[in-house]
Amino acid sequence: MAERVRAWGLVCLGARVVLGGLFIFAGVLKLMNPLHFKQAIMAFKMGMPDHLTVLATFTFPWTEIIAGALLVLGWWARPAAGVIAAMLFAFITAMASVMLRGIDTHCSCFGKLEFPCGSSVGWCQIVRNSVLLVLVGIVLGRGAGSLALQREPRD
Amino acid sequence: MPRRSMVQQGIVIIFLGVAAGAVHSALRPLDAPRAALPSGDAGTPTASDPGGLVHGQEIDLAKAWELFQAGTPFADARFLEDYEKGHVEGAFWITTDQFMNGKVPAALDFLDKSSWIVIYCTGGNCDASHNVAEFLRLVGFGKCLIMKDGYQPWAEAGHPTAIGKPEIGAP
Repeated sequence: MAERVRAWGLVCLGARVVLGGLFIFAGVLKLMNPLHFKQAIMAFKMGMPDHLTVLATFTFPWTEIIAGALLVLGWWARPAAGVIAAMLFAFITAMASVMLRGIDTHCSCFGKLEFPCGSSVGWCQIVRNSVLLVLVGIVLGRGAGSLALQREPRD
Repeated sequence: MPRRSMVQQGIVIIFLGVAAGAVHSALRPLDAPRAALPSGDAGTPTASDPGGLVHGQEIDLAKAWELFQAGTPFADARFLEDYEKGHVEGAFWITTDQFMNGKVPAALDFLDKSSWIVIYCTGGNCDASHNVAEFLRLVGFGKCLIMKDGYQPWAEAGHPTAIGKPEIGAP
């Protein structure tokens, strides 16, 4: 039993560090070149007014960085995972919408790197985000795991 | 963890993200600062510009084609990948990214400040060409026109296109 608990603790630690690290990385890349990200948002043609596009250009990366940092630290890990899940759902919906409308554009999810997919928005990005949702599910379901700053009360 | 407490903490995280984003966007405006534009009449129509065109003006496909035939340089403001897939034949590749950190695009060495430049992006809601036009004006290229329809209608109209990397400024 203790072995199993310890194993889950390590799995959760791995999930939140990988997930948090990726989101910090993605947020920093976007903030390093906000114009690039703004153009990517515009290219999605969601009908957003310009001031909202500008706000989204800065809000998404900052939320990614804050939620990612909380995940890595293991502080408010479940709420941070929930916020990341909401963003992933929003990204998947936006990408599916772009694909359905036949728009050939870039997600700029990881700045210019588009890690690990090709340049255009497609199934690869949707599968990648779905895999990340699995990691989110682990943290949401099992908690922060080992080496977390905040120890969660047992449910 | 109680679900209510988790939702409240999630809202706090989103609030922090929005607040940080709002402060950041206020401190670092995205568009070229219009107030800092050089004064002068670089963009106003003159006798040598009988078309009455002004800097930043949007033009349709027919006018762009007319200017292309007259030898007017074109600039593609889209992502490099888009440029490589297809661009107006002979178009320079100039994006807002290339103006970062005080740098200017290498293509500017090959452009004449007294000449009109037609800039395009993907069309529709795309504003990359407008942003590039503002950056170009800041460095003295005050005669930029925007091909509002973007690249795709140009290609669909059968006008000259090319594929591959830009000759100047490719990373």
